[in-house]
Amino acid sequence: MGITFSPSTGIGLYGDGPPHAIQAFSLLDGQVFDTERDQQILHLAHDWEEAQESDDDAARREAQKRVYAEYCASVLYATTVVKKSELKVTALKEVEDALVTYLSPAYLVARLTIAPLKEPEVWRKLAANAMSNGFAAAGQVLNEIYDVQPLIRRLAEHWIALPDHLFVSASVARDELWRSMVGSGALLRIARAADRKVVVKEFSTRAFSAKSASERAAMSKIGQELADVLFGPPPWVADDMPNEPEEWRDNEAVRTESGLAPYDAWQRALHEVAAVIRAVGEGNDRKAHKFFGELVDRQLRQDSTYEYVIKSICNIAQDSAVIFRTDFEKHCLERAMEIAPYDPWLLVQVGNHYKRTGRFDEANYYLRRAAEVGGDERVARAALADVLAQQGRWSEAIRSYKQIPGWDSDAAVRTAIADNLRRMGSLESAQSEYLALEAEGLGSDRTAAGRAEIFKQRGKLYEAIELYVSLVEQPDIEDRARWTYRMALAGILKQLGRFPRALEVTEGALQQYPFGMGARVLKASLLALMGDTRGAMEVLPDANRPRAFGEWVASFTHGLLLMRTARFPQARDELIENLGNSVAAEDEKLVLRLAAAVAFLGENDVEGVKSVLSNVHDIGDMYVSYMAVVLEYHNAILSEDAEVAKRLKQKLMEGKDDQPHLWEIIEELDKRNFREAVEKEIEGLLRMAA
Amino acid sequence: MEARFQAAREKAKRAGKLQRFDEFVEVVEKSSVTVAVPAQFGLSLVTNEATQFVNYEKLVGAGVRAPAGLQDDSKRRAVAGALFPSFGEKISYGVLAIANRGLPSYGDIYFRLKPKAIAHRCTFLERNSFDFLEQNGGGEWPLGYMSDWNSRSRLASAKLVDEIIAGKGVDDWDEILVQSDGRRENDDFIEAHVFGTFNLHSIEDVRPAEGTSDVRTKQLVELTLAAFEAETG
Repeated sequence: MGITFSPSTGIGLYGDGPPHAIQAFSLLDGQVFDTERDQQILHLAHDWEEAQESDDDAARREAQKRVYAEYCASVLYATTVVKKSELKVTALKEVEDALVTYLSPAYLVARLTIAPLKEPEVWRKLAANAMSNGFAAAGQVLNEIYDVQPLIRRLAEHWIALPDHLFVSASVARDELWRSMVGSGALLRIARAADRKVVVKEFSTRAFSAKSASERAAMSKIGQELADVLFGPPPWVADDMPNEPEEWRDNEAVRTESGLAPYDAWQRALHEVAAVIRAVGEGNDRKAHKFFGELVDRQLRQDSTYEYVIKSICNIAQDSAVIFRTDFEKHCLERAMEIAPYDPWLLVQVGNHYKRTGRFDEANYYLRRAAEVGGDERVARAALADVLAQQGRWSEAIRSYKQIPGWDSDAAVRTAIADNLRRMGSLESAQSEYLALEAEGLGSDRTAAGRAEIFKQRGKLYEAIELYVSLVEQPDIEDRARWTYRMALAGILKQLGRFPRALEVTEGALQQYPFGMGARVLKASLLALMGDTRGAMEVLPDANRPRAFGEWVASFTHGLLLMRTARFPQARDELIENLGNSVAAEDEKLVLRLAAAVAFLGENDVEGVKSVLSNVHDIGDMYVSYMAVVLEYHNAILSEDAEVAKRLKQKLMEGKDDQPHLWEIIEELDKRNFREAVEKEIEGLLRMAA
Repeated sequence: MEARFQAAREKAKRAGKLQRFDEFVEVVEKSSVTVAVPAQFGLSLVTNEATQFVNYEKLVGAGVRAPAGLQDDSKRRAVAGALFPSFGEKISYGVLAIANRGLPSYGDIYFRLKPKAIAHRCTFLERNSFDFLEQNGGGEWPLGYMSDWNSRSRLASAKLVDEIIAGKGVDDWDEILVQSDGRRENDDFIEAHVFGTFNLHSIEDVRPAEGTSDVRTKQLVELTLAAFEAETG
């Protein structure tokens, strides 16, 4: 059964053709055409295709899907060039409706990844626009198209460079073959392939349906050649490749497959793990995958309990995460899950991976499973509590901690509970618990830091500074903890306007972890506050797409720096997009909302401000809460709502003495100096970026 | 055609309206073809996929929207029309119009085609080919009712001489050239046949059809107009 149809016009033709009747109709609205009278419409179609399915209904659905994919593509192309924002929204709604009713997001993504985009940024912004207007499916499609660009670009470059003679034997033009792979999704599968097998398989499928033996052979050859350029030749060809780790070449014993003493075997595994990590760190994925595959295969042959192979894989996964290669971490964990899906240690790692990538529900699931299957319940419950805390579910987090056997005599667990009490705004209870721990001799740098945070949240910044300085100067403190306290100290100094001193402390943190995003963000915000916006932007390259845990603040600062250079629409789009995507805890997202509100205020967009501030609630931090009220006051003045403005002003008066910098914004607003007020608001938010 | 035209001109002269008749001819010399299309298709016409992508031509070829391989499809041939039996499927239809006036009964949006893009591949029939064939049957057609691009003003003036004489002025000439009350059976126009397709680069002007009341269609038309403006600067 089949339908002849035109994707561009949506015209479909049913029937067998002469001498039988043909029915012409619109696949878009069902309108039936007179095949003789309606020549003007029927002849608009010049791009006929055929949908062959098991029955007419299926053929119609298939044709309809292709018509709507074509239509959505046109709508999105139009949306990238039109300027009027209402039209963009109309267009995005069209796409959203089509995605809900006629075609899957994956199908549209496949259709739109026909070639690398010239201006992917435009599509990214469109995605932000879709998301902020509630068109989730359209936004998802646009985001996916944006995300896959590097892979499509890489594939396209290799494809164009394939030798011509391959296609001559295949009796199909290079462009024709590429085009045929677009709609079927094969192109996307190849672009996303993790190894050569996927590529070879796609072309084997094509070879299977080829009409002649020579065409089949040519199709397979294209697949092999493409896999070679994408992933290097297969292992049986690559044995003599000079890319094995130096350690292997230097140590003959390590190369021996059998007869190793346990210590030597362990050493060998360490070398192999290090070699994989080095390759991952260098971005040499081909090498990394090769070494990883070999390590796993060898250990699987030698280790019937899987204990060592899982440990090796988890070590690689952990190190990959440390160097922000969460993609390779995921690859490792997926492989490990294939081998030992009930390993509690592995389940905790998988849960932690999802936590870092912001997929809290999945994290929750795996960590609960880890706690259920046994192993180290303390680790699993603590990790689960951490996830719940990130989701703002502090009470549940506390409950999870209290399920750990012997929790009430475990200082680390009690400190974590106190931290959660503090985060949920129960400052008194948190303070009591920190002090109780210290009185019982169970105090630590973490309890002191907790008390410092309470001072900060209550606006007692000098007391907080004093505590943090003592923590930074403690000689026996862990490096990572010292870094955290340095950052906190610099943040408070910044909030107080002591920028040069804050910069000095930040440089210390940067020296400790030169590639850590947090210190770079803090430095950028300080430079901006000291008037060096350009220097600040240079410190933060490509910080507008945070995907790793804790990096939301990079997006926040980047947005503020854009506003500093009066690029409000760009700042708004980035902030709103990251509001939806960032791997940030709920209270951190509130801070992102404040930044987005300022971006809207920069454009006098009263409704925009209302939309982002509507979900802001009191998060317990005095500075952040005061800033939220300042922005609401600004909006009330803009919208000339005297009653609300009066009420907010009274509230602001109460904290005037504690927040002298933020009070300056009120003074500017009362003089209707909106531009100056926005500048001070940006400055006020930059003080939070740490 | 020439005989019909001269007869019409003589008729106008006898009625004392020769100057107006000649003016009409002169104005129609500047006419072109308008095509009415549904909003969805209009949008696909004004968006230029190739401009969105890097290496588009190298990867995709001339155009993903026109794949080959259905040359002998019997269904398409069945709707190709009787006017051009051997190449009917390659014809695009429109109407002759002075400004950008079209037939709202056929679409939500009008595209006026650039003369330069179609003059060498365009013919005209005095009326809707369906009606013309019904009236004249499948045998020999009477001469003088079809024209090429260069003699389209002669065809138009021969057809409309009575209305020109009847006192219609310059402002009304587009209306007498393309008459429609929104119902296809009442449409009266000079049908244009363009061999082959047209694309964004063949379009001179875009405007919405009259009488579109559906909100969604209106929005799509507006999007099409804005996209056309953006794509063509």
